[in-house]
Amino acid sequence: MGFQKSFGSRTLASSAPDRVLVACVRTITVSSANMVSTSADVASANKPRILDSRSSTDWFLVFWCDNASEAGDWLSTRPHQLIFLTGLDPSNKHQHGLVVNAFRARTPEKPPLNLRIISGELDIAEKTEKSLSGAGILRREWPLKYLENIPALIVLFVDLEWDHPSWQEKKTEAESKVASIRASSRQGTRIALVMLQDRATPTTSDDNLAADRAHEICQICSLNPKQLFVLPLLGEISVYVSKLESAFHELAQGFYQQKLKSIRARSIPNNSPSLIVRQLFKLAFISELRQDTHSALRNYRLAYDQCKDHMETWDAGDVYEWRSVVGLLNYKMCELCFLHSTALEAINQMRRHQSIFFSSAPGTYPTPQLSLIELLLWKAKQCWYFAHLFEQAVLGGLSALATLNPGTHLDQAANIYSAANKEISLVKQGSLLLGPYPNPDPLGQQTEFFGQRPWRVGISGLASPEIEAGAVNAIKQRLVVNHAGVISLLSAAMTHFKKYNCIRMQKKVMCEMADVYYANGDVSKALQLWSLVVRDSSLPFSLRSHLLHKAACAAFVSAAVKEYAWCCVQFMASGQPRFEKAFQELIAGRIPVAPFDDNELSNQQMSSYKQNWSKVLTERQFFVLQASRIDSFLFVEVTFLSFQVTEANSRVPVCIRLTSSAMSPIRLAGINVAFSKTEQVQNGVEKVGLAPLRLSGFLLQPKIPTVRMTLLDLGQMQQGEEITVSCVSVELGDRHSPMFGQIDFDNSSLNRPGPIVALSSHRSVLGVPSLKVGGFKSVMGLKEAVSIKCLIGEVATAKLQLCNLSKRILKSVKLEFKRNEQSQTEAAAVLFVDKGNELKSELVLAVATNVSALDQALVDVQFSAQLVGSFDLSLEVSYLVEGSSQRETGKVLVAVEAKEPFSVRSAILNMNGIPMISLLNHCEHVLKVDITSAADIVITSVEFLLADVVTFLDASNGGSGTNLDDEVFEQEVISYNAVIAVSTADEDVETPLGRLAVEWKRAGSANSVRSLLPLCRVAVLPCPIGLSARVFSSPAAVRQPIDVCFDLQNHSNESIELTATFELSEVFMFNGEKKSSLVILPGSVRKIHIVVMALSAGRLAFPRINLRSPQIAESTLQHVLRTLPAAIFVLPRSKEH
Amino acid sequence: MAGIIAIYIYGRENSRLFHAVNPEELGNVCDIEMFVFCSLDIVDEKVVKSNEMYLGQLFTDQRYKSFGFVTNTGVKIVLVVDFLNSTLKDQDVRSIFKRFHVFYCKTISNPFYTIGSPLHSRWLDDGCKEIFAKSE
Repeated sequence: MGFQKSFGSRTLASSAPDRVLVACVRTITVSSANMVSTSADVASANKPRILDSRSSTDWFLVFWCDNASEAGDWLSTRPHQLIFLTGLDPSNKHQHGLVVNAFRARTPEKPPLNLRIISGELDIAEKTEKSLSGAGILRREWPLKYLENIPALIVLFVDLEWDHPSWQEKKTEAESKVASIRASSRQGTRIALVMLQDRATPTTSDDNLAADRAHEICQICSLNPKQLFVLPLLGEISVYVSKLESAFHELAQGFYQQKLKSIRARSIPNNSPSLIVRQLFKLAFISELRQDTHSALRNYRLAYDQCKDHMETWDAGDVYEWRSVVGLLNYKMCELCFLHSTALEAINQMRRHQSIFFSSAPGTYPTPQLSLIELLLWKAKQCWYFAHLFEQAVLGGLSALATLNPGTHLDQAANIYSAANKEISLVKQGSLLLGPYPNPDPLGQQTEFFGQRPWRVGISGLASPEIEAGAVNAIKQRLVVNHAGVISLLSAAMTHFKKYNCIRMQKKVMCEMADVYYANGDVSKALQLWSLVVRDSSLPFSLRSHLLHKAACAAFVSAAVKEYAWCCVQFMASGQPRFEKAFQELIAGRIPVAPFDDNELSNQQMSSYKQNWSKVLTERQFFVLQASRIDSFLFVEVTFLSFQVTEANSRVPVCIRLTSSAMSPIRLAGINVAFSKTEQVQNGVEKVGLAPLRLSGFLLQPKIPTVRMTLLDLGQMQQGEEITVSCVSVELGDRHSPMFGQIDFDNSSLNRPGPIVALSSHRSVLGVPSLKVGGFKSVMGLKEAVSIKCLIGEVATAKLQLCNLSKRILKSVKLEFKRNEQSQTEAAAVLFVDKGNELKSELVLAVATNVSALDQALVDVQFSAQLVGSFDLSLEVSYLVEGSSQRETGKVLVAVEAKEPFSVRSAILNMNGIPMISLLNHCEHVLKVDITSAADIVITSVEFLLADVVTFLDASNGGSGTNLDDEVFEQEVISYNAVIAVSTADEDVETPLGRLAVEWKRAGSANSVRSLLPLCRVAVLPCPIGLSARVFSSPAAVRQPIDVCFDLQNHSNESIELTATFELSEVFMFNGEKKSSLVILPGSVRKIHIVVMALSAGRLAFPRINLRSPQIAESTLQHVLRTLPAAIFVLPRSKEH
Repeated sequence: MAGIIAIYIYGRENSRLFHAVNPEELGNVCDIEMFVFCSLDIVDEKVVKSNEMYLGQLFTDQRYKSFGFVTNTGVKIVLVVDFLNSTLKDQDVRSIFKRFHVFYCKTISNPFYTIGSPLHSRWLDDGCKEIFAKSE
């Protein structure tokens, strides 16, 4: 965590502009305090924030090469132009103090200057010749030359007014100071002179004196007019200082430009990659100082490419030096890319860097093993540096993604560092018998070049074999396995993954952390992390098993009973015999089977672990596993075998079903089923636990469900409360034995489909998972649904079985029919038979005085449907619940299907039996009624209730009458006839003939029903004259005179003239008047007698007459003639006659 | 087409429908599984913003790199390639994904296949054998 904290503080302070500002201010603060500042002071003040490798707590110090490869402090900040200010005395002169303060106020928009106040003698390093021995690629101290030692500009401040009385003396003094500075700086440093004057405004161009003296002083000091400045101390100093800084920056640019020219002018042999790289690096760095970052990037890239192109030519002993330089160049390139807001370019550069240099061969110097470690640490550091740059860019406003974020690089660094740790561990194991640490320390010497070996400083090529061996010895002794460093990196990566919502990558990091903790011997933390990861159900199965196995190993190693049981229970779900055995042994209080493969552990280790287990098992152990967090081998389902809403004060059966997916039988000591109820409290709903139910003695067979039933008493429950199974605790092992555990199944883990259900795709457990306690509702209902089919008017009987479904005694049970509460018209029209055998439209029926719980009462309800249709009779059941004075009510529905008993069709026939659509007024007709039965019935009476205008003439042969016993089966038709005549004054209109009264009863029934049915309506045609024929000779015989009389009656109020003509026939001989003319007075009857003799026997056409009248229409007369009989039956004569 | 390590197909809800690992890499199945598991984080992020089915390179570590592809129905295909593989160009990866998309379509065209269930298909098996054989 120490690393993480320091990492965090760095991160917060690593915003680029802020850092620049802080660095500058600190520099000036130190200078102003001491007035004499040295490079060491500056270095301490400007303490690096990113690449500080010299802290004793830093993880990179673990290896000798890191110190050598570190670029130094300068890399942590952007390079600033170094400017010395001299001639200021802020502690003694107030005005000077104001000037210093104005320079101290740095803001990001000001030029990047490193202003340093110098007093006394200037000590600027002279250009020295470098020793050629042990030449490397880049000198570590070279960048500091321009950052700390050689200023781009030296500014001399003098208090001098234009009209100073001792102008000449002052002028000479300034000249001598400038000359002294010029003599000290031999690197081409520019010089500027600032005159501090007590005035409020700058000198104007009109001031001739000022112009003359300025020219004078420039000449005497050999300065360009652009190098002379006047600072009015009484004016707005900060404004003038700001202008001065811009001018200083411009002068400094010229210095660096000059340096670039001189470096570029040096001739470098093409066949010396190291010199080319050095020159390009210098050009790039000076360009950076000149604030030309694009040129700097170009030169860094050229240098990097130069290194890459000559990889094959690297000397085996100098590989690490080259790598260090490449790492530095890559860092600078990525830094500048981020600075140019081309983050993708930086990321691509890093990818390129990895693909080129990460896969390169580690080399063999100083030894293959050490060079491999060296390479791994270098790679880890590259990733770490890049992650820092990336993070700084993000803090500077770059938007990172899950795809591209610093976390991935930190994770990579951790992985590589972890691999390095493994190698270091191997090295340490193999070098137990090293001699004493060599003296003098071969690693103690300060290196000159990046990546230089400390024992080869000042030596060209390899050192002597003794020194080399001593160096290897020293390295091996100083090697340290640093797991804390890896954990710190992983923690940092985790922070980023959380930030960018990379959930799966967090899991990966957690696994890696667990591995490191395990390797570091911190088994409990490793176990904790693995447990957390394994709980993620989205993890692939194989990966999960792999991690679970690691967790099991850790649990075994640490003799953690609960954790090992936790692992075993989950392995048992996937059917692993080894862990089943381990679990059984654990429950039995014996040392469990180890999860390790054969030969994975030494005997010594195994016996040590077993010893730990023995110790643990001697004490009483108890563990609880939460099934919701694991994939258990046990599946528990608990349901209530009741309705969702159940009655209070009752006992509800509870079904418990246990299924084991283990390979062998599992014995459970018992299970506790805990219930909870929701209770209404003041602020809402609260869950309250109920007394648990306990069942014991389970032996679960593999993959065979074990079902147990028990009863839950709801005696204390209140209406509205909801009861759920809150937890089922499965007890493993004996409660009184040293080892006892339980698996708790809460709501989320209960009623999961078990393996059997999943396979067979059926769910055999019935019931509901929760109960709601309802009030005492209507519980008197029909045992069976009742459906009645009846005929209209018939008295039908519905036999109702009213059952008391509650668990209490019901008293004074009544059944009531309320007409106005019926939803259907047909139901409202139903009539009921009361006790007095009368039909009533409402009914109140006392059913029973007492009905016990689950008992039933029978009641017959007689009713008569009056309308055809299918409908439900809604009957209200009311009762008194025992102990209550208030009547409870309920509804009972009786389905009724009512239909007509028969259908009646009536028609009018003439006397010859021919159907007629109309009838003649005053004439005789036959009324025929067809009754089609809809059920098996017996007709006991048929009565024609004719209208007033209809005269009933004869029904002797029509079948109607009382005391009939006409049995008619379903769909049969029976006919009844009657002779009628209509005499009405309203002619030419449809006249209703009346009604038919039919008394009938069901076959086998005693109760008869009288049904009144309408007869048809017929149009009545006017007929002023009536005609009828009578045969007086009866029976008529062949060749015997047959006397026939035709009666003509005038029904009108006028006399009617008629001509009657007898129609001759071949079958009759005729005697009488063939034609006669008649006048029939109103209401009188005239008779026409004829005598005919039949010439043949049999059914002969009735002798016919034709009538003609000028007063009556021919068609009417034809209608009248049709009323005559159509035939006469003539008997033959016997032979003896 | 050298260095192809594994191919995974995931459903819309990231349920695994199919996976095949190069027989030579069977010893590193857990590492590959974890790598692909992490790649799904990137897939989830890229799917939202992607304008095409090919998602490009997803994730990389020191051993593997992964590429992603998402169909119009949200089915994801992840290809795992050796980190050092430099012969496999972007166009090659696209063509592999296209082929496996076709194989997937052919597989689900089976009237007896239930959408969302693991894929068992001769098309996919042969396709995997082919790309793994070429990568040897």
